[in-house]
Amino acid sequence: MATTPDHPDLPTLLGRIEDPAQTPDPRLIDEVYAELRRLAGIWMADEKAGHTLQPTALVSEAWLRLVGPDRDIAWQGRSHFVAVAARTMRRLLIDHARRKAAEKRGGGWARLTLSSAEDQVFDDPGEFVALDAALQELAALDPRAAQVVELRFFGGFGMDEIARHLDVSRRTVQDDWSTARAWLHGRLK
Amino acid sequence: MSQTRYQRIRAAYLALLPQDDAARERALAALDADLRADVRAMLRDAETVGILDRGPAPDAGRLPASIGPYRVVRRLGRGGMGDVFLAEQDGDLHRRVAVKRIAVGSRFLERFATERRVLARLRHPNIAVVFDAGQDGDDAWLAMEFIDGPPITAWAREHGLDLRARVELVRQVCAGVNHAHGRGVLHRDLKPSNLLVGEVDGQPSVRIIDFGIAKVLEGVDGEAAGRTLAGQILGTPQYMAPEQTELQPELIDARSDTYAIGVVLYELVCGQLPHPTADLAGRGLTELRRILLHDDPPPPSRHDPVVDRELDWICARALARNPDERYQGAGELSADLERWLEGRPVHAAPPSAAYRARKFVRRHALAVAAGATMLVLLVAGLLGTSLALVRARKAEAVAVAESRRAQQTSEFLLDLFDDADPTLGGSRDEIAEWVLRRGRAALDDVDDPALRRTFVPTMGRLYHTLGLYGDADTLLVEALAAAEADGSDLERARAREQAGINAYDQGLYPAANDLLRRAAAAADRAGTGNEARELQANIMTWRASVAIKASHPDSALVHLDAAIALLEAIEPLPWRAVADGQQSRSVALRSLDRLDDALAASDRGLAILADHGAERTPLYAVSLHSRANVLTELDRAEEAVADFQRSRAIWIASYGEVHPHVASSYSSEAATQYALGHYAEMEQLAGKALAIQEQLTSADHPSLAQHLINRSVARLSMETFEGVEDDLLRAIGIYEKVYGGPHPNIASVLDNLAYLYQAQGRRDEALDAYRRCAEMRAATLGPGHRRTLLSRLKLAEVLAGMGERQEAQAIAADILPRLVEVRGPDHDQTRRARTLLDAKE
Repeated sequence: MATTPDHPDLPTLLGRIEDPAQTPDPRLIDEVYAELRRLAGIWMADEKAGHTLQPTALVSEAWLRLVGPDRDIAWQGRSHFVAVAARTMRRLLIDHARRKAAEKRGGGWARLTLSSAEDQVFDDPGEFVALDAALQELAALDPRAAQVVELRFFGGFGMDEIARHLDVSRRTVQDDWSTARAWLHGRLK
Repeated sequence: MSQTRYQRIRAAYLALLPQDDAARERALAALDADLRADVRAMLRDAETVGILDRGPAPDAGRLPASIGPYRVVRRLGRGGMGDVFLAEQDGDLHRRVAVKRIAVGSRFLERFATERRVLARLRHPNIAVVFDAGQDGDDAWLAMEFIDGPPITAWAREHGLDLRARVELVRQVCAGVNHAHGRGVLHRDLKPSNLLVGEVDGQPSVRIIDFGIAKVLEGVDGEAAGRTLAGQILGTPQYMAPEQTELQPELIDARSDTYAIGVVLYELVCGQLPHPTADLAGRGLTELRRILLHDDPPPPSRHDPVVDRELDWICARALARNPDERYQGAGELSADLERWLEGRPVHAAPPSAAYRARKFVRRHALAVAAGATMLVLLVAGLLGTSLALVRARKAEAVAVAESRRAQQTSEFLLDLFDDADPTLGGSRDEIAEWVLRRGRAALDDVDDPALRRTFVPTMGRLYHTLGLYGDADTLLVEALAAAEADGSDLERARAREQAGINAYDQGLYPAANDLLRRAAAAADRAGTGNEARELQANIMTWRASVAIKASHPDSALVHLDAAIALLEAIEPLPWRAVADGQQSRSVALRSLDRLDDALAASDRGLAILADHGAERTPLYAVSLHSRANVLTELDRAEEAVADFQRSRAIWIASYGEVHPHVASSYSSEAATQYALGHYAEMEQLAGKALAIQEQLTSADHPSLAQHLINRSVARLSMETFEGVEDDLLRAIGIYEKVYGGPHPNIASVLDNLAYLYQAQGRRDEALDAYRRCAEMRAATLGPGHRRTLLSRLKLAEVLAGMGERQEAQAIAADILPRLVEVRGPDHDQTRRARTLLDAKE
């Protein structure tokens, strides 16, 4: 399973962004984006397992593929990786959703597809686009809460990981999440 | 929203979140009024399930090397309860299992232990075997048979299965479910991702996974998560039976699973879900329940014509809202599917309540009216709701009160049906009388608050549609009070809108304005979903109507353009609402004297309706009516009369003769006949309008004044003065009440009155009336307005005739330059002013 990554310079990139305030290296973002896209493609094409495809599963898998479980990388490295992955995952999903929406508009209404409700992560493109927009609105009012959503929803971060990454208490993260969740659900109704 | 405001809302929200309802209400009451609604909305939104809940479980980590005795091979995916891995048993490389890791720990295991013996008894080729369960750190795990296959829907799609093969697959599901039901195990979360298909001897074989797990999880989650999960749903809204939204486990039985199979069947035969995901996702329980209980899914054949009528019926029976009307188990459903496969007559019949309701509506020719939807909703929808409520009560074991309530409910509904079913003619009057007599009397006996809450607004809207505004008012006010007390923003917006529309139709414009303004505020808070946006647009359209009545056509246009823009962004296009918006635009543009634009707007509205085959609908009639009004002002009176008569015929067919729209049609045609010089027709039409209006509305409805004025003008034009003074004085009285102060319309009636007095030689009274008219016009329209100038001219002429030369000349001197400016130097009125000024002693 956990194969050695064929991206030798990635750990170096990770090593370079130890300062949380620092903007991630764009090369890292591109790298992660490419890998996530590739993985998402595999998931979507080969949906054999019968379980929901979740972005977070992709992120974890990308981590394993790019870095491997045995690599001794400082926790902060992973922290940054997931932060970056969350951001790119968001980008990937939105791109995908936009494409899907465009297909739907252009694709003709008569096309009959069997869609299962569980495929909805990718089946309701409008919802993702709306979430992205609402998240941008929230970021203007409450940047940290928006970041918590991004890390948790798109990155699959646990509460404790988010707390460490943002250097705040777990309680604060929970409050951020609860507020953002209610606020966004209100927006997306 | 400003950041300060957001921070205040956030702080209040977080402070109130852990508290119980009573404490929340107290705290909300102490809060600034302008924050209260937002905080309340957030607290409610915290309890809805939405897109964010489909994200990760907390602390989703990396791939574990092993779980319990299993070595993890790879991640299969992530289900609602946690991660699922493909794993191999240590020491046995060939036995592959699916291991679910569930982050609820020991409590799960305790509960699972009690279920385990039951689950062990499930041995069926269509049920996946659960091998083992255990604990791994904080997590529980569950090892089960690994099925290397896709969900049932994906299988059918990938293998291009035909209808029969799809039905066969569903029968396999039924077989497995029936086996489990026979051993006392419910699934509770049947959906395609729990129905995996693999191949056995080259044949597709369905395996149901996760049997009995939902029950174990439900208990655990409810206890562990407490308040934050209250109101959230464990399960998948799209496959959930209505009774599963009640959060009362005792209501869920084998028939709930049968419902879920029905959804899968529906999805498999036509490729769509009965209730679109977009309608269900992110809803709270209440809203979800409302949709499941009120919205009839279309028959599958609507989505795919390949589906035949019998299969439609089978789906409808499997998806009946009321479990008693459903197949009583998976076995029954399977047997009917077998009959279908063999071409024998199926046991499912057209869904009774909805079928009868539709039949009733068709018979009463109301199908074209908005009332039809209302009736179907009333009859079919409420039947489901009330039965569900009764079931819910049953669980509380309040047997005596409950049976009385059930009796009330069923009597109420039976009355509606039984009286309607024979050979009622179908005119509005008969239906109205029947609804009045039966519905209202039955409603008075319903004292259960929950039932009233459903019946009252619906009945209110029904009365309103039938033009019975007074009766509607009582009910809509009651509904409004209920929604204000604890409704959602959407409910509140709707209740306010309905009350506002009803006030508008009663001529209570300030009240309507206030209600609609508040409706708009609530609707804006209701978000940006299609439902909310359509409601926002509709409210804007109504606010525009009020603005038109209040002589603010320019602001009406602003509302309407915004409403139409909002509507046109919605997919599928709410064409009725767009047509309605164009119709109102036409009215506003006409008020602004932009007659060509007004005509274009009418034509656009009519074209939209014609495109959708809605040429016999009351809305089409409304648009025709507006166009006729424009044509009148464009001096195309003959075309206008034809439009009036066409639109009136539609209304009479839909509503019967005694309806406000019919009255208004007579009235408008009367005005057009005036333009054609047909005074006798005019008098007759105005009289008809008056007679209808008097039956329908209170004594101070502004339309009454309009009809009285029309009749007076017709009589004055024919030089008959009988009753004119009384009519005009009554009209002034009505307008004074409606407008509460000076208004151009009152001034116009005064002008008519002055004309009458002058014609009758009652000079002093004529003088007084002209004086009041001129003053009112100066105050409301401005001193330079042409109508103000005209009434001052008339006043001066009367004064001159009475020998008051000095005052007459002073007035003439004052208005002459303005007349030259407004009317031109050679206009008749300018000349008349000059004549007065030049007159010698």
